[in-house]
Amino acid sequence: MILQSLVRLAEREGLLGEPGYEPKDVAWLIELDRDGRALGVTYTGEKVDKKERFLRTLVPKRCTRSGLAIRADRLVDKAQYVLGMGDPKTLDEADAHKRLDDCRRAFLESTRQLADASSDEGLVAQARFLSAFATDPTPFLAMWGSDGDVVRAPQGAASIVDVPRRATGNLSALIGFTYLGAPIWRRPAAQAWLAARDGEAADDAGALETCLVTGQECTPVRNHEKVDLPGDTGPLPFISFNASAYEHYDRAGNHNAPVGPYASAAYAMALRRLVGRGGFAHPTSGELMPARSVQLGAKTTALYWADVEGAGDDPTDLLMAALGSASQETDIQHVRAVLEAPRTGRPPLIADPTPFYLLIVTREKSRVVLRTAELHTLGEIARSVVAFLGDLAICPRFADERVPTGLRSLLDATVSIRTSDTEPAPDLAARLMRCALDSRLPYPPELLATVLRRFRSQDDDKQLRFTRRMALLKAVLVRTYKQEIPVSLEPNHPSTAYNLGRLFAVLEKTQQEAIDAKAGIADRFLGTAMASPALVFSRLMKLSHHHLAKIGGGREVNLGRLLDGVVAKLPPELPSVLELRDQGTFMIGYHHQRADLWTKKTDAGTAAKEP
Amino acid sequence: MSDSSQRPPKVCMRASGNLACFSRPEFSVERASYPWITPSSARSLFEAVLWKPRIRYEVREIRVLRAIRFTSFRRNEIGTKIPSRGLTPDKWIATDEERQQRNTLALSDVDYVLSAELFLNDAVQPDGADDNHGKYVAMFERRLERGQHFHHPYLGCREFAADLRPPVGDEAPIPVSLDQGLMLYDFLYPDWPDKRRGWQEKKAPQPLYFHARLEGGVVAVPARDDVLARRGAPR
Repeated sequence: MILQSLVRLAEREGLLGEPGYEPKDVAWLIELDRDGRALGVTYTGEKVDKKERFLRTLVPKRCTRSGLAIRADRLVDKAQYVLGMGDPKTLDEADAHKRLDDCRRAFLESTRQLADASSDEGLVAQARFLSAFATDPTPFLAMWGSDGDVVRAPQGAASIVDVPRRATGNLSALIGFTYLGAPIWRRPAAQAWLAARDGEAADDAGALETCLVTGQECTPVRNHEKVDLPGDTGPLPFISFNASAYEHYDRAGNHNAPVGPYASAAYAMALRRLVGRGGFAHPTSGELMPARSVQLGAKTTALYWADVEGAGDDPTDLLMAALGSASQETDIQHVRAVLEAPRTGRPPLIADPTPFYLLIVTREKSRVVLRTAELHTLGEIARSVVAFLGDLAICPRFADERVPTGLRSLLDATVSIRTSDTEPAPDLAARLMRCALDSRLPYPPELLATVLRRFRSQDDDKQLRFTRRMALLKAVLVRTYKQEIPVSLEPNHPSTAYNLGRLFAVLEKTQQEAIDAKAGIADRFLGTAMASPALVFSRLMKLSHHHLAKIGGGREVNLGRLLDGVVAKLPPELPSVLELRDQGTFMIGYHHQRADLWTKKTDAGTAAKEP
Repeated sequence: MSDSSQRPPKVCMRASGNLACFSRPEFSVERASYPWITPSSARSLFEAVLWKPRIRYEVREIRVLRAIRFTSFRRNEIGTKIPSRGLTPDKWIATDEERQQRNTLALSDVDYVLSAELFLNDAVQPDGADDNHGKYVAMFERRLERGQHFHHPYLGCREFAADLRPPVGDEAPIPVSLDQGLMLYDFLYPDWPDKRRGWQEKKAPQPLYFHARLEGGVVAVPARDDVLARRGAPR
């Protein structure tokens, strides 16, 4: 289901390019004339956003080289093969020169083969250039070295030649040839020749098997194509069988899941496009495609796509953007309006039955862990995301506070800043994402406990992620425990725990106005007050009398009235223990009251008084 | 012995369980389940109730009675195998050295009504002169009613035990339609007369796939001959 829909995605968006070609960066372009003389050299690199970007275009499919094998690519290859140039540092080794020579000759042979087969002008020109270069490299290198600074490097048998530093800096950069301004490797003759031989360099004929993605008989790939996932460097195969315990029926490695080369290339391309690492450029048109992934942690990524034709995915991107980096300013009403708006020829997003796929993967050291692979409809997703964002809505602590409610920020709120494992559990990340997209799923049970534990711990980051934690608490209480929690202060809320939280906030405020305590009651008593109110509140009430007396005047009267008002809502016997959900309500009450108390003061006053 | 004009008789069964994992071949390392039971797992449930070399089952219909829900958890598994041939006492696995933690994406709360056709295997000697389909169907239904089985039935993985009982007849499938794409139908086992020589002497079992579509909660599984005939054809 997942692989098949990925292959369909690749086909729909034309990610597979043309047969025989694949998209790569070409760094150098050498313009030739009809006789194979070099007219000019262009360097395609330019600095964009601190990264060097080259011309990204379709080049003939590169072969895989293993070990010291010498295999030349067709028409476009790196300096070692095209010009026989090596890294100056390694040229002292015994047969390094001979090896470079062999590489250069292999490339020349391969070009000659194409030129002879098609007798196309451009191909012939390239072949001529290469043979001329073999006999006498100096004129070309002189031209090449004329821009940029040069380094000295030995090349060939005896002569020392100047080579542009840029070439030696990145010897794996691809060099291509152009004729009359157009790339030679894209000439129709070359295209035809390569297309006819596409897939030849595949695995040597193994037994034919049914590909489990396309259903066709083909030789399955020995290694699946690798995909770069965030979290670590290096591409990983999405499917691999790396231990004997996972092999069945005496099949080795990837023959346990036979996938043909077409399907393997297609789904890997689709995955790369969804991950969008470093900006994914469309293979033929070259335009940057937006990534369809939400980062849930350093190593956990959620990929999503929908089975829609054309550019109908934009509302999906809006939804996912809301999950990826929402903030309190994300106007829920606006999002809802967009989702319910009618669209030409299709139902509004809220009721759209198009299939929507979700894939959450975590990157571990050497393998990809599949957390979930799900299928929903766009309509379900739209409704669930709106419900999720609505559940999270809570008043900020002070008027200017910006509360990020994207999934990543919420997950960061479940961990403490100071401890070494600052990564939220990947399983929690995956489950929270699933809850966001499916409003019927209950939140993971440990979420409530984890968030509450952050308030009991001793680290000093309680203030930094405070409101996010409140948002999570509210969401959990609303969905799992079916409680009615308002967005901001509700003076007539029936719950005892809520009013106890309010009381705590008022007491804290009283203390703050009375004395300048370094460790206020919030720091010392919050954890205990939340868990066992009966132990703590009597003492705090006693202290509050002194604080009030110290404040004096009208302020004392007002605070006193507020205090009495809250106390009046409490039962005569304070509960000795509050269970987890009531602790959550306690914190919500605390937060609401604080927000209410603090917003009336001026900003200068609050900045000084924030603990 | 089998009639060529009519289809063989059908047997039906209801199977349910808390957890099930019908692992997809491509994700069998970090196990991810298909959305519903595969015909080969369904066949194993029938065979758990009654099997003799004389009979074979072909699953024809799967009805999904509960919503498709996934759940994910991690388990410690072992990364190596003890070789089945050439086994000597020095070949052992120290589990705490070979332990690997792998994720499992399983189905939770599954409930199916399965129906299969019961074929007689002509390659095996008939058991007496009165050997016919009806005899085995009756045996199956008796055993199912009484809850007898040869080994405890399981849903995909041995640790996910299944409950089997005869269907009542009024179970309504879920109103969901889903195109799953290609799903494993079963394996094509080669003739294997000599057990000692093992798989390497003969061809290894070949997987067979079919296009699985859930329509109104019902998956219509094609006949085995159709699946064999369609091998290699594009989907």
